[in-house]
Amino acid sequence: MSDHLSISEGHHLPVAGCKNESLYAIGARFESPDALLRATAALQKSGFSCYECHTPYPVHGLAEKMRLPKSILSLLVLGGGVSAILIALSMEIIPTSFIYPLVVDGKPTNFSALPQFIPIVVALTLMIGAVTAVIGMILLGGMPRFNHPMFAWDLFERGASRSFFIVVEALDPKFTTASVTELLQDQGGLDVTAIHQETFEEGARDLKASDKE
Amino acid sequence: MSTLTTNAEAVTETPDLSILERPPQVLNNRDPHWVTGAVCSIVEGKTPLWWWIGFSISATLAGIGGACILYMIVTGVGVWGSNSPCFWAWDITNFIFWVSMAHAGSMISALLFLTRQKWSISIARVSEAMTVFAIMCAGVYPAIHIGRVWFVWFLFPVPNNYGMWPNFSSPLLWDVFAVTSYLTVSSLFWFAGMIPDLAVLRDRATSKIRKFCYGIVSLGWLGTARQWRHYEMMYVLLAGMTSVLVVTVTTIVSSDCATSVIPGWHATIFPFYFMVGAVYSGCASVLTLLIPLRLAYPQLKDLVTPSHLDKVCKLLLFMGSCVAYVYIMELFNAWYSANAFERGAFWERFHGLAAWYPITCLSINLIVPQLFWFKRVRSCLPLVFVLAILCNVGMWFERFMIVTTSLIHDLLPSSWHIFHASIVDILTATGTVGIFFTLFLLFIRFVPLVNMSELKATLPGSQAHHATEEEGNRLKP
Amino acid sequence: MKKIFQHPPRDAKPTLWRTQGERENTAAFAEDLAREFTSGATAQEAQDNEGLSRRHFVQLMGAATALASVGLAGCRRPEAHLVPFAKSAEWTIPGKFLYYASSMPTPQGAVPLTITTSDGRPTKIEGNPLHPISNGATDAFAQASILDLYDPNRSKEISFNSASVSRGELDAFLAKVRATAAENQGEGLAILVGRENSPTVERLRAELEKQFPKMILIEDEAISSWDAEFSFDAVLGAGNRPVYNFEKADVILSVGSDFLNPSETGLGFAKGFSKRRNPEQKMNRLYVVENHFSLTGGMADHRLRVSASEQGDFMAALVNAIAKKGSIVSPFAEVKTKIHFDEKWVNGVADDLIAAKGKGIVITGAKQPAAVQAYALWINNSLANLGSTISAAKTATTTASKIENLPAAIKAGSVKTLLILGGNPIYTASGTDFPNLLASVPETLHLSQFVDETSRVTHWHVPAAHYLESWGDARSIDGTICSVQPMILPLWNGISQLEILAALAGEKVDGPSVVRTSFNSYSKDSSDAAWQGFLRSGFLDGTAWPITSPSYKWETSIIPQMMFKSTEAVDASGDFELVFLRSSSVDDGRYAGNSWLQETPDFVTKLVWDNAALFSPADAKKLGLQDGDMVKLTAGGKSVEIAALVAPGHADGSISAALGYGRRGVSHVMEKVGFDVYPLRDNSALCYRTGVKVEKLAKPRYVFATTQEHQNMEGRNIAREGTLEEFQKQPEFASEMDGEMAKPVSIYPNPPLTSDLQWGLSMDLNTCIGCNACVVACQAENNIPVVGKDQVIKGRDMAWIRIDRWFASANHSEEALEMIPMGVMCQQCESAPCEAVCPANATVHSEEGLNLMAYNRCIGTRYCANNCPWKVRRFNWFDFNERPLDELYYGPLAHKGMADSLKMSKNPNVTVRMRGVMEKCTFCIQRIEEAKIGRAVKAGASDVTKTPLPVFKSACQQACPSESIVFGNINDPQSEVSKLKSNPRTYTSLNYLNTRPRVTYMARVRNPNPAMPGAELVGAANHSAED
Repeated sequence: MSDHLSISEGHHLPVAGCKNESLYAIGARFESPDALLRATAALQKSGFSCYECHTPYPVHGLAEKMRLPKSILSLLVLGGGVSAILIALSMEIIPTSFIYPLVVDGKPTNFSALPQFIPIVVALTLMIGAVTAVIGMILLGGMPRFNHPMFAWDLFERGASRSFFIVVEALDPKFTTASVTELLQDQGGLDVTAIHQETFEEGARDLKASDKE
Repeated sequence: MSTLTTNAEAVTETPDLSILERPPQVLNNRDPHWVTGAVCSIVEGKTPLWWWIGFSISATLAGIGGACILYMIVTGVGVWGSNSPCFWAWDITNFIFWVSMAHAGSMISALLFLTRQKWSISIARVSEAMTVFAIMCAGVYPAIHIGRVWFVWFLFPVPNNYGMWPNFSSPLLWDVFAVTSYLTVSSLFWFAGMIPDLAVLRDRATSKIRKFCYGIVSLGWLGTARQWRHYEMMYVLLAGMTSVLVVTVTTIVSSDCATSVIPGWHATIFPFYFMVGAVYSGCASVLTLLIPLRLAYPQLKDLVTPSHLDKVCKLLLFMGSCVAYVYIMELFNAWYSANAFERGAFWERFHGLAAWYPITCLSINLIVPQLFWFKRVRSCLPLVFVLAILCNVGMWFERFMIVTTSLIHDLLPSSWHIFHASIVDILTATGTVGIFFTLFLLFIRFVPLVNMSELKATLPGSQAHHATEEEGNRLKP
Repeated sequence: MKKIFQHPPRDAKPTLWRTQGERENTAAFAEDLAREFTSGATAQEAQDNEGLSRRHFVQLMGAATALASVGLAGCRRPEAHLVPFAKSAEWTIPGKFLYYASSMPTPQGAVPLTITTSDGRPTKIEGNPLHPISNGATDAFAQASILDLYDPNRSKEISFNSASVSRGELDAFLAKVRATAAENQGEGLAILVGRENSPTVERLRAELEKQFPKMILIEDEAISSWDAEFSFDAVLGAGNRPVYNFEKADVILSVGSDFLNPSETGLGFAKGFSKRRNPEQKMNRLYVVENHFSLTGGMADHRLRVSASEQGDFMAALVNAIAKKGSIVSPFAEVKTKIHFDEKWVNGVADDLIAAKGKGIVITGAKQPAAVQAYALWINNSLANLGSTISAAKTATTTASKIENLPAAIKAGSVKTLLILGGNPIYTASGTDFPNLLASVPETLHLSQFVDETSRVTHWHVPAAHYLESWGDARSIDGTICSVQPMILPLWNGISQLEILAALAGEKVDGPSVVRTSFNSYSKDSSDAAWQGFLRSGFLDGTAWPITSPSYKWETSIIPQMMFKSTEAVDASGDFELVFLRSSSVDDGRYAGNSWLQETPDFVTKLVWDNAALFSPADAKKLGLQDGDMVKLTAGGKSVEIAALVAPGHADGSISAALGYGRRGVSHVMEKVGFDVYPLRDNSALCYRTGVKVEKLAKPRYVFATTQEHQNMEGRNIAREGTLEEFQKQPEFASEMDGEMAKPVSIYPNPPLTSDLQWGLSMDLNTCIGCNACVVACQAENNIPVVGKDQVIKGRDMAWIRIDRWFASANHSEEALEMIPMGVMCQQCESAPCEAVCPANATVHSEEGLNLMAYNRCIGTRYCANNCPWKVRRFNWFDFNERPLDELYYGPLAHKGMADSLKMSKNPNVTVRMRGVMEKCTFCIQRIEEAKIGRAVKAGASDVTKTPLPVFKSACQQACPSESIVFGNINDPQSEVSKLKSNPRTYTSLNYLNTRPRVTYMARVRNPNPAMPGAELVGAANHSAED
């Protein structure tokens, strides 16, 4: 990353991605979960809302610090499960008891035959529930997305598995390059970088570059 | 790590507390970065020779198995040894065997996860992989064992102009649904648990293709706090559902036998019987997979520690004792029923045409697991490996005993007839073994063997200080 | 999706064709083929739906007649008009059966039959219900004979020195023979015929003998009863034969006679005997003395194992006992019994027989020497059974000489031309020197259905017409003359024996003309009407042998010459006797080409596709023999290698082996099947021979195929029996055996079966003799495939009804051994375990209580069969119908398709099942539906349920000679089956499972004589269970 973003006299910020693109955010790296949580608290205090923390593994207390609400995934799964039960039961009972009742093993075809329908209900419920859970997680997590600006920050790529990142997005109403940079640096944020969306060509170049390494 | 030193001080001050301490997850105080490197190196390093050898062998076996299945389909089920009265033999035996083996995987990864047995984390991924592949092998049989494979779709509730609709009171249909959902759920569980690790591989990828592929499968995971939040919720939910499956699938499979009227099959103990047998054989196979893996990749020795294996051995011991209990209860029930047919079934099982199946089965499953009472046995890994394999053999014979001996000595002695396996039976069975190991070797090669993100999260010092007391609650939805 | 059936490509000129169209291979036919119904049929279908207006009726008849006339020419219906037996349209209606009366000639006497033909091809054989002997019943051989008709391995052309020649050349040859014979009065002409029991044959033979006095006429049967006949002639007067009326007998002693075997003695005996087995009326008592377990031995109340050669001594002992007790002077005062028999046994029988003076029967097997027959006659006479239970029939005396005279004549060179019109002497007389001599005869001709052992060595071979292809007549065992009329033109230019004899006698053969001529001679009324009546009813009333009260005259002078006339073996150095049995599957070998019969289990050993040397367990132990060990039997300088089989209940010191196996190079069905024991048999030892040396061979063990491998009930009350005493004390003794499992309960109400027809079946174990008639009948009716020996070994036989044969011995001794046959077919459980487990709903219940099986819905999970407690479901492991049995494992590489002729043999109303589907007994649902349609037609607008059903029977019921299977509507309290189901002896097998089968069994009751040794062990098959 040769070019820099000047924020104040003689003070420059390294840039990830393509400068022609609009600025996405300013990110900083932190070494320990404690540092991360402190920085998050600071951001929260100074009223930032559009920021994101990237961690290699779930860090506890982070969500609480960020004041994130509880995930609604469980509700989705509940919905999926209940509808599965209804689907299964109607699929079994309607033909077997009403449309085309057959004498099978001298077993009743009315509702006293319910027990024999249960196993399939269970199986189907679990299956549909699980599918809902995974798909829900993916969509709620904003996935799949393969062109996220963060990918332009090679430092993030290299460090994602070990260090913690805070990224303050330019959309944030209180966002100014200077203030954010200052705040992050105060909180001990390392490698504070301005992140731009990267264009495809540049991405390709970066990849080639990384190939050489 | 500062936290560690403080711990160490604590230990020196109050030595008696050391008893309360759980054995460390990861030996030699490895830090998260080391974990990442150790696990990823397996995937990123160059393919070892033994892998190629193993892969070609198992792929060949799988191929032969496939050929046998094709031959069976175009010629008729008669190419198997099955006969009247023994209409089912190796097909359903192997189906039950594989589907049971799967269960330990789910149990370790889901049930132990829910019960916060953190030690299970580092072996969960391998067990889940085993689960998924075992179910795939099991799934082979219900699909092909029928007389007219091309009509297998009659089994599914597909609206059609024949007015065909399946019979929902048939345990065989329950199987279809149970196995399908088990396969779906456990593969989802397996895959979803892998996403963050795949992302790590993506980030570490050096070649364009690898980057691209791992990029696709990791779905653009960024590890943001929001993603983690949903992710953890999903993980708990999946774990919950999987642990339900651990119980229900064997129950449903066991109802194949339990709901029938054949003495030796018609027993209410069967769901429990199959369940404990399943986890028992599953633990055995986990051991058979882990011990060689540790040899092949020494870096795993710090992650999959002797204490892990010891715990699996204990689980094996427990389940093995349950199995022994069931054997005895089964005989007792038969005697206590005072029913000539019930008693006869078991009398013939041990005196009849095929007494050696049950004798092999019992002699293994009653004795071998009991050896794990001794710490010396549990800690001698080569021995454990051999015993584990024995346990699997014993379990296969148990399934074989349940399926065949009850059939060949059914209610009317006039229809009794011995079963002999045909070569096609055998090659098809080895074929499924081939399929299993082919998939497993591919798994070793391309997927991180250990759930890194989850493991790192539990490493000492991985969490913020003031969060440590919350650590236990981290899994609360 | 609609499945378009692709017909196999038709060769330009097919050997068999359904219509003239196919014969010429016209486009119109191809179109018809593609269509599912022919125009006529569809027209008729339309009519079935809405009522039949006159106009429609005319159209329909037009179509039907048109179709019929095409069909007639095409289907090779004989041009001569046949008069239908049953009430039926004058012309055939496509898809509707026509029934004709005919009969099957056998050496024992003709079996009167009703032939079912559909569209001009005979598809099923039933007994003739009008005939006193049959009453609608048949034996297994008659049932299976339909397959012989369509056997693709039949010889198809006349051959001279194994080069095929035209019919003309044959006629020329016969003309030449006739001419030369006319010159020298038949000098040098010899004719060998089987025992045809045919008046026309007799007439022609007499004619020939008149024309050619010097001609040698020989009548030969491989299995004959000459000794018996000799003593009957001597004692009762020439031509007089005893007629046993078993329904009159209270006490029966059978010495080596399997009189209950329908194939042995005709159908009448089993019926008469079983009439008296009802414990509610006065029940008869049966003593059996025999060397191997026979059907009769299985029914016995007291059974004694005595080797065939000692049975004569037993009779002598009995004679002495009766003479002593009854203070009657016996002419056999000098008879000293070599062996000492259990005094109590002999005396017990003697007392019982004396007590039942005039109400007893002593019957000896045809195997026994004339003297032994004479003993029996003496006992019957001195106990006044002759005239009461035994009457005599005056039969025609034959002038034919026996085969043993032939070799002499040939040696003397007095035989220039030998016409073998019956039998297969090279095979059956291989023990004699006849085979070597035959070569020295200048001109030989053999008439047979196969190019068999004899045809291979004779100069001429003439393909014989099947009895369903030819005109004729034959006497049933009671002498009644039955008609034999063709159902179809000869498939492969077969020629009947009548035609040849007629040609020799110089008679013009024109359809039935020859038979008609003799009909005119033996029928009082020779009008056309009478002739048609003869054909319609299938027999001529009042032609039975005249029944006389037997005149018993005895000269001691004949004793020496009748003493052990033909059965005393020459050398007595060996320690075993070998008894030659009539095979229950292939008779004397004549049915060896019939795969149905080959796969029909032996009555007792349950062997299929094989015969074996039967050893008693004691002997087997002594010789260290196990099932399948190869042994070498040596006698009279000849030896045979055969596999041994341990036969429970067999007499010690005796070996039994069935004849008729081990034929080679005739038809692939007979290949590698069984062992030929004819070589050990010569004119000095036709029935059994003593002095047989047994030598165990160090050869690999021979693998037998049996349909039942476990003989012991293992203390499970499956087949139930008790004694008459028990029955009188507790009539419900059978259902009592359920014990505490008697009253199973259901936790939910079962859905009601609403139809007014509820089918059920009752099987009486007391009269079931286990004769296999039902098994073969079912196979013929339901298009059941044959699977071959290898598959039977694997346990994959397909029989829908099987006969389980249980051995039970209350004290585990050979002496107390009892046999209980038990027919098992689908039990049609009201709550059927098989139904619940089928994932595809392929087997469900009908409103009439039938356990339905939808083949095209079945995917073959085989779960239903696993869950069937009776294991009566059969799975098509391979494409048994489409692939040759020796290529089953070749998969797609095997030849595909069924022989055209076999296609013709299938029952059009029953699906031919494909690979991978389950099948089972359906209570002959096709017959049920036919009856229901008939009822609906009869009912018309009126209430169907009020209309009575047309009378019909299931195939097994119809075939059963002892009427122990009764099928019908259990909803109708008047029906016979409902009455039987309320019988106290009725019980449900495997009752504790609470599947509520529609098939119930009636327990067997034995009638032991308390005075007999071991009486307490009789009828105690289930007692071991209660211990």
